[in-house]
Amino acid sequence: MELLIRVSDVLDRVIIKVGRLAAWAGLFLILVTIFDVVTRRFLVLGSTKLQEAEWHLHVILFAFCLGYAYLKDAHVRIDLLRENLSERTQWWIEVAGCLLFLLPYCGLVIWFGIDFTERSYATQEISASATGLTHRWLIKIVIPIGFGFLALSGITVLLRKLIELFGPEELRQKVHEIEEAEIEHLVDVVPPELRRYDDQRDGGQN
Amino acid sequence: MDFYIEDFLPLFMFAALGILLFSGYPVAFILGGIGLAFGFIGMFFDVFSFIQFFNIVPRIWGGIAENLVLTAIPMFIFMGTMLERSGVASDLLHCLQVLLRRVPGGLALSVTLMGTIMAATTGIIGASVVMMTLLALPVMLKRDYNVPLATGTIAASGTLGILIPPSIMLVIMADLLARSVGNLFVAAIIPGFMLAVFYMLYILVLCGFKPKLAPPLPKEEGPDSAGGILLLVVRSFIPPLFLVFLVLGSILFGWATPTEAAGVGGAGAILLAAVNRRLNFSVLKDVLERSALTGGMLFGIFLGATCFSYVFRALGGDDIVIDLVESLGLGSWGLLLMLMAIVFFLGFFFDWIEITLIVLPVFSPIIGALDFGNHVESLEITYWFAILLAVNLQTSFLTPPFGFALFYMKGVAPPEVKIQQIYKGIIPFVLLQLAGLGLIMAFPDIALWLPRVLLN
Amino acid sequence: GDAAAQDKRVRWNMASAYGSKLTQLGTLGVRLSDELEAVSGGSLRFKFFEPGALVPALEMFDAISAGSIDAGWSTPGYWTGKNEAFALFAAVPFGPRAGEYLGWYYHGGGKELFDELYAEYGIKSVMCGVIAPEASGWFRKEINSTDDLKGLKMRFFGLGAKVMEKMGVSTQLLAGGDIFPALERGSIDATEFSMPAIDLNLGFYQVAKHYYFPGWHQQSTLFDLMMNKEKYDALSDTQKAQIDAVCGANITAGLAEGEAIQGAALAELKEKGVTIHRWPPEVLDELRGAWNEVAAELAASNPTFKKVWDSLTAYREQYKIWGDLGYL
Ligand code: NA
Ligand code: NA
Repeated sequence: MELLIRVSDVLDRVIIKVGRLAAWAGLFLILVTIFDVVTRRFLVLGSTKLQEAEWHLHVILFAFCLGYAYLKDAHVRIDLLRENLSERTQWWIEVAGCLLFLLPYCGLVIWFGIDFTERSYATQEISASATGLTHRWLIKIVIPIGFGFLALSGITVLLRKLIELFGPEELRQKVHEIEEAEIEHLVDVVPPELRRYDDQRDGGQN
Repeated sequence: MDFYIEDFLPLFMFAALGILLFSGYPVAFILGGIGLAFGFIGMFFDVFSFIQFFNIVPRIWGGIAENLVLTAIPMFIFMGTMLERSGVASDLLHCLQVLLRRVPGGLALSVTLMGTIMAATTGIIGASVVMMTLLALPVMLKRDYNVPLATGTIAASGTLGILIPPSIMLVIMADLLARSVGNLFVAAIIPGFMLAVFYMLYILVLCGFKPKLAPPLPKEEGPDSAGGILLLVVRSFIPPLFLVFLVLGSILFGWATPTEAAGVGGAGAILLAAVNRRLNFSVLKDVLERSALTGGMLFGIFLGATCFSYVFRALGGDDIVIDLVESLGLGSWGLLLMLMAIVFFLGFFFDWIEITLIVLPVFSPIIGALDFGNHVESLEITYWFAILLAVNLQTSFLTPPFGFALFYMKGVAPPEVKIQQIYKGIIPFVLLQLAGLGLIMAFPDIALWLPRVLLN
Repeated sequence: GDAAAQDKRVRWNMASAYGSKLTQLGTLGVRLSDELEAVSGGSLRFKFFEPGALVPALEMFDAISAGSIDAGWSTPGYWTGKNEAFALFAAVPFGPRAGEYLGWYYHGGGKELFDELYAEYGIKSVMCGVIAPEASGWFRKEINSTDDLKGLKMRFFGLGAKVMEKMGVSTQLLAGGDIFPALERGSIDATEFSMPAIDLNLGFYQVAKHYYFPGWHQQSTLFDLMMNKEKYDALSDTQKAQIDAVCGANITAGLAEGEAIQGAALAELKEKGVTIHRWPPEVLDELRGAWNEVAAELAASNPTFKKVWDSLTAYREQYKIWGDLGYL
């Protein structure tokens, strides 16, 4: 069990590092776009390469952040029924989801994604727009790699849930703390003194 | 007629999604997982083969990755996150609230206005809903707004972007119809703004009768003197207004395409944060990371949805829909209403692009050849139908339980905001949109008059 | 009768690169699907799928090669990313008209090179359509000389874009949805699109008033029916012959229709206030010079391109005397 925690921690750190690094692609995306917009007014550079660079950055950004978002619990969940379920049931759902949905889904995209990249590499594919960028396989491979990180994040979550389900109490506690610390809310949480309203108003007014 | 269970697999996909969605597992992976599972079930019944899964990757590649339009999404998310983090958004909304102190639901009205302006710069619902939620929801919650009213206002005004041009949806529709994008753009203007006006009237009336839902600013808060208000306006109103001008202006003056305008907005948001002296390395890093997480969430749904809808189509789902409509043998109005109902239903499960691909190519020539008497001139039926479809698709982004716009919103909303509140909040706005749809059906000139005047 | 009755029933998915409603580009694909079923007595059913329904239009190549889609209706010109030589089987800048082009394809060695090229990717393709010349594009301002081209921002795709860059044009890629608003607001100055009958429906005249001819980059455009080679090889000889026959007829149909419909479309465009221009000869000469440079560069860097280019050039040289003498 200790080993499971260590493995999941290593995976966790790697995935989050990668995600945080990839997040900077967002800034470069904005910079490239602005550069293209501004220079187009004054210079004849030809924008095809720049515009292709834009979606290259967009691919890096979303592909490497899929797993990062899973660990940070940023993927949307419909929690309508979930709240009424016991914690144990929720853990079991997460285990089943990882094993039956997430991992096979990643497996498939990785499998065919590599095939897809190989086809591109074998033909030394370049942009279909004759004035665009070359070495298309370099960006195509980002998709299977991104899904690879997503799969690893699935394994991390799976290991943690197994510990929570079957591990000794102290490890369960430890995992729980790690998980709580990881959750990142995309919008600043409403201050505690205001929290009462969403239950109160909603229930109260009807 | 023989009954083969494999003919009905696509319908079971709806059922499976409907049930499993409520397991609380991430929507993105449920969509992908169900697509996968039904592919395997299809293999068992010999109506699908393993190699057909290959198509999922080129779909991801061509539809989501190598897609220049979608690059606007991360940039708009960044813009929203930066404006929120740097306090520019809450300053602006605070100022609006001070100005609209005496107007019922002033903040909600400002949000609707903001959504309408945002709609004129982008046509991607994911981008506008996420951005609007980031900007407005925290402020509205802090101001004690009724949660369903706040979420409903944001989600509804956020989805206006798909109707008010520029809109990638109208471009794709024009492509499938082989008709002018310009005509569709112009035809969508009045219906789009009409809905925005409906929302505002509704908010005004509702908040007028129930001021508790949208508490006005306490009297003691905010400046009272004209000078104080002027200072507030200059401080908090002008900078974001400048940003709006920059984004919209860059499109109107032909400096940037609508997609690139998102980049202008992102850069402008950095600039404003710097002017507000709230920009430093850690803020920038934090905003980038949060935007990346939001993007991961959003694109996770896109990826799952493309897998789900591909398998649906490969299993013959389109044919079920088409056969259903054709087997009913309806007259012109019956057929139109039936199609609208089906599109509304499909909107629960699919992205607009998949619905458009099912409905438009098959039914637009049929509808276009129908006779609506004096109601619509036969040459204009196709445009009229496209606008009806567009309004309907906008609505179906919001319809509980499976509205995609609601997912995007839930993804970025504070965890205190429950999906049931979001569902509840959307009901009046969906009704307003259906009323709008009915009006455009009853009075086609709402859509057709402007192109007639402007373009001919 | 009997031979057809024994053929294995083929139920294939055919992805289209063009929407079914698009004049010629799409309608010829629908015609292909319908005719195959009629001619084969139902043994060949190629179900037409809108672009993006199975995979996005430009992704069908890999999908057909992998066998995840059985067939596709498209133009070889889309696959220059795989190999630039494909462009020579679709539309050649300053290239031949339909008659001369088909002469090369069927009798000048084109078809053999075509089969050889596609076979590398596990695809069998049958040439299946040809359409009229395209227009040169929509411009917001009048162009009188090549100096007017310099610095112009133009949406341009394919080999023609390389030529344009040599002329000092800043070529833009642009998201599909941005082309129209970009041209309207002036973020771009011009775009190439298609032939008059198509451009009329798509409404480009609403945002740019200057329409230029001739379309030097596409004097005629060929379309093909791509099929997964393994699956094609498993077809009966009868079925293969049916495909050849239907495609032959599709070529005739496309050529005839393409010639027939442009006149009315141009008249209507004129009525809508579009100014129709012909490129001055010196502009065309400069463009031709730029194209020859581009072709020479491509031939130097890509052996397959060189092979096909040499074949086409040799054919055109021996054709020239007939072309000059035989036609008015
Ligand atoms: Na819009
Ligand atoms: Na919905």
